[in-house]
Amino acid sequence: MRNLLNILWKYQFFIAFLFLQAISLTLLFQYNKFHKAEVLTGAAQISGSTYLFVNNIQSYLSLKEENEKLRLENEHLKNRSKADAYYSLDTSKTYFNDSLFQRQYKFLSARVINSTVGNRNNYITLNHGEFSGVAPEMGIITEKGVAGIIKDVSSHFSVGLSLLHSKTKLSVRLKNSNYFGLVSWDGVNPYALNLDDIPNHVNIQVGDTIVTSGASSIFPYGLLVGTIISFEKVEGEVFYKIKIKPTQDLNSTSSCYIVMNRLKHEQVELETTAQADED
Amino acid sequence: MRIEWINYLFRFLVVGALQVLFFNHINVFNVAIPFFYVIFFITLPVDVKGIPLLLIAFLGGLTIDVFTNTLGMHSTACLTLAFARPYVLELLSPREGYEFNSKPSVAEFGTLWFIPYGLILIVLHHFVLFSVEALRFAEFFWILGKTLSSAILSLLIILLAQSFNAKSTQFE
Repeated sequence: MRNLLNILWKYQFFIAFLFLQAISLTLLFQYNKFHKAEVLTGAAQISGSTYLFVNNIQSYLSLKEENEKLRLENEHLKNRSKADAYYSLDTSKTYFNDSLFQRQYKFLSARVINSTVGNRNNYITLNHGEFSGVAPEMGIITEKGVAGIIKDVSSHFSVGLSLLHSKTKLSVRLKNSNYFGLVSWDGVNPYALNLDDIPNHVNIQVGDTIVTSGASSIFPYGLLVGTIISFEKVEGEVFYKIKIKPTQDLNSTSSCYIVMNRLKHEQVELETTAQADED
Repeated sequence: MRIEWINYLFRFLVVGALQVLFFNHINVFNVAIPFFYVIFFITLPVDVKGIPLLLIAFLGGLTIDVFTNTLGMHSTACLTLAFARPYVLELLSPREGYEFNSKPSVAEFGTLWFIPYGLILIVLHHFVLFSVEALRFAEFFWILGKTLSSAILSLLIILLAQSFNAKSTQFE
């Protein structure tokens, strides 16, 4: 017994090292399981406020570009708006059922207060949280294209997986031939994402546009994702190996919109009932 | 002694803030990212060793993790650095041993001593960090390249930071 204690005392440094290393590896592998823990929400609140404080100062530096972007987007929206761009129908003589145009998506403007591109798994921190109605699994888009998906929310902040995250899988389709595919990132070049599941026989070209498929209940159909920069046929494989360039440069995202799907609950509920009936 | 601890806490806050707010956003050629904050663990006094050193590294790494959404990644790498530090110090110890309260820094031991000392610890830290991040040995050479390029960048920045530090201690 005395010997054992002596040995423990002698190797206390090594034993303490193993013990602490075990704790941190557990944290690493279990992160997703207890991300709702109180401690972590508190920590997210602290890191969120810090990033917000610094971003409040930083955002002055890019006011000019932000203005330019807003003007372009306003122009685009004005061209689509019913009041400005369309001939107004005389509604006393015609009737159309407005419920056909029931609104499904709502967009909430948000500011990116922190984001990285250099890591294997990159995150985007936004300045809206639970109090603004943000919930996990909502989309993050910019005026140029898809940027990510919300993962965690605290009361005032939310953290999203960027497209540049190993766990982000985005369901997309080719704009001109409607074939479905899956976009993911291998962690190497932030300007080249992988596009899988496009069959060999489809006719594709460099420069083809990739848009969201609308299949996931997170993004509406037809949002820009990227353009094809290279593709190759692999011997003996059914699918192409395609690289696409994201239309939104994830290195310079400063403002964005959170996509809220108002019918998501209904869709998910229906899908689960349908699946339950089959089993 | 207590004032010294507060001094170190303040130093960690400054170094950590620089890392989280500035150096994390630097990404040279999409390959090299500087992890400047390791300067804190590298230049702790020689007398800080054993379990306190491990605890400091664990808590420090965890703090950085909270800000980068990578719980456990930086703490694993920092712990490995802290574990290796006493052995590296022993390996590079001067003939008459270390004086009481000496700091392994450029100001006290010179650049030529600091470069191998810093490089060993930085490479170790970065290698563990990038391996834990990727978790795939198929990408060994990619991890190695990223480790070496980032380590050189980190070392350069740390040397630069110490040259400022050396001047300020002369005035004291």
